[in-house]
Amino acid sequence: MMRMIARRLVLGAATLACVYALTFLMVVSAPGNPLQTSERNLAPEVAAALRARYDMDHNGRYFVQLLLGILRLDFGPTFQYPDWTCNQILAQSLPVSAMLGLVAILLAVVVGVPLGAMSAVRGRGWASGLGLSLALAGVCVPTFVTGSCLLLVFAVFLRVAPVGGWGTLAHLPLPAVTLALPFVAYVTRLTRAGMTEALSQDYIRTALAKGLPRRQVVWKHAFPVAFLPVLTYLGPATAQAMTGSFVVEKVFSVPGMGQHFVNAALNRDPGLLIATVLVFSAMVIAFNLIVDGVHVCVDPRLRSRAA
Amino acid sequence: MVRGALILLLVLLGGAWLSGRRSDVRPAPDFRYVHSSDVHTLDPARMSWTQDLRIALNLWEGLCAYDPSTLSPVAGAAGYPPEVSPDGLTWTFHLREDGRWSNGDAVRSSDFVRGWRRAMEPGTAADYAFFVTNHVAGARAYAEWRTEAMQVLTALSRRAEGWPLDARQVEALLTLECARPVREAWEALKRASANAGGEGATPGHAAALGDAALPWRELHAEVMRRHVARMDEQFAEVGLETPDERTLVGRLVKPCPFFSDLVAFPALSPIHESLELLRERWGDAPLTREGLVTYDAQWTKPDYRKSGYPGLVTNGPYRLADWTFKRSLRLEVNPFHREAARIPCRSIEAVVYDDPNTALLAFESGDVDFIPTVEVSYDHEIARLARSGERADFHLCSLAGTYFFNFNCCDAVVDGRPNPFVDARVRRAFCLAVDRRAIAEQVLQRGDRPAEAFVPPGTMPGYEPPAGLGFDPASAQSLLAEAGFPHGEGLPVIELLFNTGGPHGSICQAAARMWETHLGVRIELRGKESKTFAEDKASRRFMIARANWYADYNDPTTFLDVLSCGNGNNDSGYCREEYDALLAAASVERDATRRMSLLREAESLIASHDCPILPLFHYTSVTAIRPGVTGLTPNARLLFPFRAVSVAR
Amino acid sequence: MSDAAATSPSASMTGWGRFRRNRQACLGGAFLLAMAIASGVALPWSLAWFDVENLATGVRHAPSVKSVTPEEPLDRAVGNVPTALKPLGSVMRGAASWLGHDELGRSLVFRLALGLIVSLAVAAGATATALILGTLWGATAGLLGGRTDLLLMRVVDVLYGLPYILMVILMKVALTRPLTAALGGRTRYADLVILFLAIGSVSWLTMARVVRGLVMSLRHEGFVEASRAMGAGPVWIFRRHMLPNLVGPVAAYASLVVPQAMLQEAFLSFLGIGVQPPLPSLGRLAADGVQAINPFVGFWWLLVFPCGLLALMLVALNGVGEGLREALDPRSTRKMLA
Repeated sequence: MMRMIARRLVLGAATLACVYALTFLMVVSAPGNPLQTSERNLAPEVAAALRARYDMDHNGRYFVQLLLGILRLDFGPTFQYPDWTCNQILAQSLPVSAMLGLVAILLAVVVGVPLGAMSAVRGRGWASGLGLSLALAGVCVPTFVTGSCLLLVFAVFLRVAPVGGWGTLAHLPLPAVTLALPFVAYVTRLTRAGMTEALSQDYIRTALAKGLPRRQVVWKHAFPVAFLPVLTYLGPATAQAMTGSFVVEKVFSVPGMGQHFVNAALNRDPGLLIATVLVFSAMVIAFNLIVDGVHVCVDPRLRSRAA
Repeated sequence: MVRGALILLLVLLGGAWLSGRRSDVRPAPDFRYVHSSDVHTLDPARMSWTQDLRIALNLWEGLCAYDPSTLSPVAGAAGYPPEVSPDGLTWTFHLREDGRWSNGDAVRSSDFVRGWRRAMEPGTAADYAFFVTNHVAGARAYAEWRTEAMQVLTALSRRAEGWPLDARQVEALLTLECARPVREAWEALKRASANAGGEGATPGHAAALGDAALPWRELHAEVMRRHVARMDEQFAEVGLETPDERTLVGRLVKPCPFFSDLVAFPALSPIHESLELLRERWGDAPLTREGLVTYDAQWTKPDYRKSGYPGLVTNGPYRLADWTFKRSLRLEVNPFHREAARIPCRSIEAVVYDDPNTALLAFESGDVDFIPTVEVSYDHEIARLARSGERADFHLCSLAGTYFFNFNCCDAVVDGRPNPFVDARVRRAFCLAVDRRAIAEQVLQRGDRPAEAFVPPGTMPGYEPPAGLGFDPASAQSLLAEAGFPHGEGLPVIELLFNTGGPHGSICQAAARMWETHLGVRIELRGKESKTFAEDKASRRFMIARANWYADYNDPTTFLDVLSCGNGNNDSGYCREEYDALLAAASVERDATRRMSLLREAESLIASHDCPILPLFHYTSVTAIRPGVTGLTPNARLLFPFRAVSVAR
Repeated sequence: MSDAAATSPSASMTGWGRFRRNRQACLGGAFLLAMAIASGVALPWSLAWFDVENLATGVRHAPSVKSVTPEEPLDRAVGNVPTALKPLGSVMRGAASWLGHDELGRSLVFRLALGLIVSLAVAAGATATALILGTLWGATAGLLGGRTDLLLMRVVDVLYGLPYILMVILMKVALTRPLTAALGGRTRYADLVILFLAIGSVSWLTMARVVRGLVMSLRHEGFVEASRAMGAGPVWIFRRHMLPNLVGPVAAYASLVVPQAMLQEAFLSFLGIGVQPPLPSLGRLAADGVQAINPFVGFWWLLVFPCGLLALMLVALNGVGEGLREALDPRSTRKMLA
């Protein structure tokens, strides 16, 4: 078990190194000047001074300098916000995104799993119908539409929530629900599919034939197996949700991290882009590791193999 | 599993509730307003965006200040008007006795020299460095001298670390004055190897300098030492003098009637001496290894305390109390300011809203008191509500800004296609074929004024822009025929470059349609995201490109200089001796009326004859002010001093 | 695990039967077909009319049965209409105002009709890109196995670690100039190609994993082992034995990529780097329509119709995709995806 974890960690580090190199290559080779931050053209001598100041006059050197910084966990400056360092930006925005994303994912589990399971167990019925329509709405309406609609109805017409911003509990529900919808949809679908399949297995039929209560069979025998695909999905999904969403942050004016992915890419801001991408990748790797660990604990087949 | 998730969810929500309650310790601000999109920087020298300048004007006070409604200069840190010598070249500013920094220190004339010197340093990379270098005697020479040193020192420091030099750097080492020690060492090396009959040396071959086995580290140190030793001596040549702590004398290169307007601009703010504590050093040189003057970028934070730094110190009516990234800025009255006791709004919060629609919704629900400019995509409807008087809290405001198209006037071939716009007749025909009124009234619908010339009428005191070309498709067609393209035959497909987002797409589509209808040409729209757009525009990879320009000071030259030959923002590449001669004549003309008429003549040359640009409209914007808020006057540059604002709750 | 006879007539009959019994899939398929036919028939007119502006009277005109667009500019713009469709001309002209007009007075009906085709084309192109890349990559890894497999799959893992939105943006930005030049400067078409290449090049990863998994499991099937024992080369084995067995699951997975690509195009449009004006797409129209969500003015038709159509299309595509998956591939891909 420990050896597996160690191996995964080494692999993860290698992956991060590749991600760094790839991101660097992409952002440096994309057209557009990261140093121009206003609408005015940058004079050549000013551009030269800025390149010298930020170590960008030589791409090879820049690659090394950035990497040395990152190894010291210092992601360096960003050009879009010259008064802040990437570290400060991450420190201020990652907790916001993480909180929002975690709530959204938990919502997805709390709502999606029971809905999906019930719609599989009961077949047709209101639960099934609700589950299906939620699942469909979540994947079929773009978040920028749902977010704007929620904001207008709950914040402006009903005045039960503040219009955007961050800091208190009241700021949380609207963006969390908007962010959760696609995840709810996916979790519902996966649970439903897994449950349907699990219920058609021979051992379930055997258990039922033995006369065990249906409730117990469904929840004790079928559900743990049906939940495995959901668990696998939740790994990368949690990483994704916790690193923020551009649309939700823009519509609800949430100071999270998702906007920096998009803005840094659009602004070709190498420092901030690499910082956000590495955080994202590290989270993906970490959550995959956690999920695999949970897999081992939950799945009896794997448990016996690991032991 | 689900139960676990539910419990975790509840714990998280509880935690959020608790932390939310704890963070709300600061009293609510007297006045909250919307800071559209990001705070890019609070470094006054580097600012370029209006929303940042707006904050700077409240944190800092220049030698002069702006009148809240006309934006003409009034007394600031110095009295108004300054003493001007009869030839208009020497300006003497007398600082007030009671000028105080937010830590209680007296504001001295040397603080202004520090700020201005910093603004023109290459390492600061100020967009508005030209305010100093174009006007103050000797400033340009000093900036160029520093830039050369920066190039040489950067090349040397990189080479000393073992990185190869590129052709540009070798060129700099071979030609620039301050690289003389390098050349001397190289000559010596060549002589030595020639004496030894060595074969490795290739005398006279420039590229070999980069590969030569010179003592690069020592050379870098030597050049640095010589440069640092001469820095203050060189700066003494710049026409800025401080005869005493309360007097600042500026010698200008040429008379500049709007100089007191320039000194009110945030780029020329004073800088408190505590900033020197955060100067970045290389060894004992007060420069970075690249030869730049830079400071720890954290200096704009109110609570930064490294190496004895007291946090951001400003001299304006407000001081920065708090700055949370991407969330809000909090200003509080500077207790040492001379008017501190009389300022009604004691604390102000600038809230960052990324999405203008969300900002307007926040205004509607009463979360904020003021939106300087409402930029929603349905702003025409807001403008209509303001015009009809249905909503008294929305105000229309004509801005000193122009939306226009640049024609590429100088490249005969663009992306492999012949560029017909090198011919002024084609440009004129394209100007005549656009119905600006239809664009302003039907497409934008928010009351922007259709433009004929570059300078927005009524914004520059004493100046009335000339009439330009109106909408006249018939003469457009005949001009096109005259240029050899009857009914558009023979013209290539014309590309119209614009950045996506906002109303640009609609405006460009409407204009393209007009050209297609009236001139029979084929237009291809090229919408690009803003970085690619900026690069294509700056490297002139376009035939027609959308653009806009806003006034920086109250003089027509803030617009007209843009089109002068070789101006860094002259994207059209227009270069015409007559035009530059008229601007030059105006710049030395001492009589205000004659000066304005020279400028008017210059503008009429571009507006109705050469047409390097196609002015479309002059901006109108909507400002939202909550009833009960007084002291905010919408003005042509949307700069609002907050010291007069009072809020009745 | 996988039925080797997936392509035999009886097996595909059962597949078709399974699909037909799925009500959702059938409804979705019918809707897709109807929309495709309708927008296909309207194509000559929507191509001609999608950017005919009417600044004088038609700006943001609400839906109405009576036409607000003067006939003259419309007639002028109509190009080559196939003779068989000619009689529809007057109906088309009448339809121009049915769903209202946008901020330049252009008919929403025809912008929607063209936008539908553009969106479908981008989604289809993206799916094809993902299909080709993913199949080649996955099959190579699965067939060759060993070191190569490890290397190729590590690449996939690394790319999984990159946020897809970043990839799409940078791909789009980086590809624009060279591809526009390669396509002879025809920006409008180059733009569509770049868009689907960019979306496709981030959607192939899962496809590669699915295909690799299938190939790996097929490698150990008796009939493959048998032909290898008889001395068949890997390419021959792949073409002869594996490809027929891959078609079903891969098609099923691909049909689920289509709606995802469509949604991604919508998101890119929201960022302003999707389909470029004046060309419409469903995502572009929906993103533009979001401005209607405000308490001041209601251009509800600019929001409701594009969003409604986009949502219905996605529902239908998802339904058909699910149906196809259940019909063609009841077991295997679900495991791979999980």
